[in-house]
Amino acid sequence: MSAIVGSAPYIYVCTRFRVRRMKLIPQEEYLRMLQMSLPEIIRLIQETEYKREIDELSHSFHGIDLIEVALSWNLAKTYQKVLAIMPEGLREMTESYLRRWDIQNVLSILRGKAQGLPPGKIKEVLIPAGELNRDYLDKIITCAEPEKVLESLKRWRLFPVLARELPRAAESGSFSSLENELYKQFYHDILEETGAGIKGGKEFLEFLRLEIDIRNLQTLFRLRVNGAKGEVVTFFIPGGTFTVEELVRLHEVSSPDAFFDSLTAQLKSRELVSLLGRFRQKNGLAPGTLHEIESALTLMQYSRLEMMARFHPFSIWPILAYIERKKQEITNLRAITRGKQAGLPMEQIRNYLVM
Amino acid sequence: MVDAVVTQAAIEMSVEAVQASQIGMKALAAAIAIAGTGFASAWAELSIGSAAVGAVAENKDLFGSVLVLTIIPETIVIFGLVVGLLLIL
Amino acid sequence: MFRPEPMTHLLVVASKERMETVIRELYSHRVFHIRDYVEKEGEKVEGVTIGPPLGSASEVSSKLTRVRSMETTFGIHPDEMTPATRQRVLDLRDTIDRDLAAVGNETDTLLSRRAELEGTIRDLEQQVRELAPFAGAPIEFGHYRGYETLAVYTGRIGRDVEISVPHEKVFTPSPQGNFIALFVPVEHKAAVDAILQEARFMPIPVPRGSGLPEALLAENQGRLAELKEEIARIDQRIAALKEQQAQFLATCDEYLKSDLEQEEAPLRFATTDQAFLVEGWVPTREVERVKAGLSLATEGKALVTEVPGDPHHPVPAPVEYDNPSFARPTQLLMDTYARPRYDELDPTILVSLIFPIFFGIILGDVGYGLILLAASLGLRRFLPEGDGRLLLKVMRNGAIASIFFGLLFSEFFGFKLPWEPLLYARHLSMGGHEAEGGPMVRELLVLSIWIGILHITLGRILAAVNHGRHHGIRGVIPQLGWIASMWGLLLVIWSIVAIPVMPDLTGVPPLVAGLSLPALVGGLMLILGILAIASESALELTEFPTIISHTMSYARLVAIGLSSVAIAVVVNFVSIGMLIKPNIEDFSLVGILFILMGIVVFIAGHLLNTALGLVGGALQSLRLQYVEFFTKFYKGGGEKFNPFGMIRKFTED
Repeated sequence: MSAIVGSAPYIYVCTRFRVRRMKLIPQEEYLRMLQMSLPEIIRLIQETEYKREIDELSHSFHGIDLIEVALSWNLAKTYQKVLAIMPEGLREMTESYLRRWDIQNVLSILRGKAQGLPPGKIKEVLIPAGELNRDYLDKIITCAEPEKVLESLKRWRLFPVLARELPRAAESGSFSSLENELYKQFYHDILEETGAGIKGGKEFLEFLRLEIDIRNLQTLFRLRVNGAKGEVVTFFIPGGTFTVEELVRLHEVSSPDAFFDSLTAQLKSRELVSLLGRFRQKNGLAPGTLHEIESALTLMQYSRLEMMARFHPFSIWPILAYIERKKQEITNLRAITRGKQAGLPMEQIRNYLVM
Repeated sequence: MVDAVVTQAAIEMSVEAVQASQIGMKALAAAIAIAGTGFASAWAELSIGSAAVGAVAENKDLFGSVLVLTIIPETIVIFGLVVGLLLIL
Repeated sequence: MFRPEPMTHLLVVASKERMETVIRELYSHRVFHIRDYVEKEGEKVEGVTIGPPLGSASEVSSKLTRVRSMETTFGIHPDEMTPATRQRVLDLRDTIDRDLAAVGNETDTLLSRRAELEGTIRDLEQQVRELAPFAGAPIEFGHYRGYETLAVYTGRIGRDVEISVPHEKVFTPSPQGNFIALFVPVEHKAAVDAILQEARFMPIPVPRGSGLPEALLAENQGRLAELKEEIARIDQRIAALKEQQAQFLATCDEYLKSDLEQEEAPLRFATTDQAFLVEGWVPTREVERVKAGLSLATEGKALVTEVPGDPHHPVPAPVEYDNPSFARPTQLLMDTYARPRYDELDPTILVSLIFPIFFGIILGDVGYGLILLAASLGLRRFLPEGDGRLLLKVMRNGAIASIFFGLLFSEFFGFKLPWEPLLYARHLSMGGHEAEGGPMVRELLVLSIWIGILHITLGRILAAVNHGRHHGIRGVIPQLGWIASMWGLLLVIWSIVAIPVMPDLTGVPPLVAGLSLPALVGGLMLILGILAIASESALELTEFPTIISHTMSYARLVAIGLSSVAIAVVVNFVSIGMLIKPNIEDFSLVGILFILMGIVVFIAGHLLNTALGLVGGALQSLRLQYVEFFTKFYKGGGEKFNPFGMIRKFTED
């Protein structure tokens, strides 16, 4: 019997996410938002999936704060709901994938504290979608000294990395290497878990490789454009289709032409090759285009995800596609609202949108 | 003489028996037709139903379309019902 | 009829100073369906962008956000309200800021006070939980602390213990776990630890504060009760506010929304530095009125152009139904599938006739029909104007058809009416009464197939009209091919086997090679038909089996109907035949109980069957329209005509 009805939960959940994905904000709506003021944007998203958050929070928050908190709450709520309706097996995978938010939250707290932001301000940007829940994070925020913060994170699975790297970060005042190390450990752990023969693990592994590749390529471009010299091996995440040595070698190629040549020679994905070809023609290693390359890579990841979701309609793909799209929606909305708040011109904000 | 009467009765009996068993077989055939097609419909509706409930959970406006989609496979069992009716009536 | 409301494609161009005037004018007409200007990659025109909203959009948005969030707080749903009076916009404009701020501030104060109280209550409850274990021990909290020579133990323990060293002990047994407070000199700590561990001692830290636990507990609980009372008062106040302000908030919502739709309209326009352009559709009969209005409002400074349709690249117009009133409820069933496109036939009127007929054939019973008719008329009062009412009207039509076919089938709750069925009988016999020969299943099935043949043929004819309009004769040929194939196949079948209720052509003498004239004609039609279908695309031929499967599918009209009759007969047999009748004939006191049971079975059974018949009949009939009928000719996917403007409920000019 279970063999017959076994597919039903997958069909149920995947259909839900397909329908949900249609409710995400479409491109032309972003373009309209660019023309709007903050109160108009608030009113607009109040008519969409963010209604509940805006309704509840508008009694105590206003303007940009209202949007920031509403977006965080909504994303956390969405992800919790995603987990709640997930069938066994898929849920474990998604849970491990969502643990990345722990890293982002911890880093937001550390950075916020380093910049001396008030706890309320830090709280606004936290997205408790991972293992560390809202109460737990709230407790960390109230800790005044860095040692206390470290102390209270003892139960976190990435605590060893944090304990190892935090002193150095505190000394140098930059958290980027800590961030790198945390993500490296995160991908290491998740690859190991997924490798252990979970049902549907093969597809998930493929997705993770793709993500690591995209991340590494983004790092590669950022390093090149910023002209970083010296030790770069620590910046790359192992586990993708490119080995770390290959990436380092690519980084060390000096002429842009040779760089593009050896990069395209190693790429298997035809989309990536044509994408890079486009940037090469535009002489794409100028600092201004960095963001463009990054968005293009992200977009490529989405289109890849969506293609897989079409091929495997009742698998983990539609769910991952939704999770990523939703994240991007929040990022885009943040970019628009922060840009508006800072009074940036429309064209500039538009460059930060991935649509 | 007595033998002939007995044989005659036996033949009549067996004709009746055959007729009865034919009716029984017909009923059985009808039952199989309906049961088989019923299972087939149910199996098809399993997937459609799961998807339908999922879709409606996210968007209530889809209820109408989804309701109609759910009964599409009912054709199968209706064919079974027709065959069954033709067999026994 | 068969065509949606004719639309005219309009372009309005004017200089930017006139934008607001044009917007207000178009809004007041409520006939202009704006086609939003979208900046697409690739077809972007330099210097043309979507326009920025008008000046007060931002302010109006803030107010609207506030109104909407208050509506949620109070649980107000303007859609479901029917206001007694309307407020004049002019009056509202003067007072809205002050009144809204007053309600808003009070709401915010109440809500933040409530959140604060809830926080305090949580803290207090936590304290009470911590205090509770100490309640039985009459020791002041201050006395638990501050010793250098004494070790203090407080906590739960499995049983009372004997301590062999000098000590002070308070033990209070309790069903939630016994409490112990123990003071021993520090030097004996190790020995006491061992004793306590053996008795499963679980330490509980001493809460902060001073005074006797009983007193503290009572104080906290008194405080809790006070706070909860205050929350109850706040909730009462919120409920009162809801009563007072529901109408006001709904009115504000409507007023602000209408304002904002106008303020934000430029987001749907194409603008340049100097001018703006708005594109859209207006029902053709309204065009002159709109033009005159715009010309008057802008003193002739707005350029209004009618865009001629381009037959090669038609811009899809929005669709507004144009049906006679009896067919209007059926539009609901059309929208459930998909609204017709502007350039295709609108089959609403056909569906509005055929749907009830099919429903009536399936549920052809006077009794059930009457129940449904009563329900559809009775429920009207309880539903607001809208889709619900339309659905009831559809149900009413079905119920009438049901009664009509019930008369033909001579059925009343599964019983026979005093006349013979005018159509074929569907009566089933049960319980050994070999009555009037049972249902005429074969005849009924063939009848349903006939209905299918005619329905499908109609669908193909409509397809021929649709395709003919777009592709000329080349579009018509394949459709005629489908019709020829189906009827050719029928001719061939008729000349091979005799089927009841269908022409019997088996007796026609053979003409050539053992084939009769009808068989030859049929075969020829079949072959020509197949060729005609293939003329469009050979792939279409994969659909060929649907000629048979779709026609057979109409058997559901009879099959579902017969199952409904069967249930009715079973209900009657169980309730009357087995419970009521024998007990009336052989009357006894226990019999009354059975008779009552019989009545219950009768009523419940038939109600259930009515519900089943309603759902089954409606869905199956609908499915025949959607799957077997629409797939032949209907595409759907037209955009709903959604004019710029608002139907106002709470406000007036």
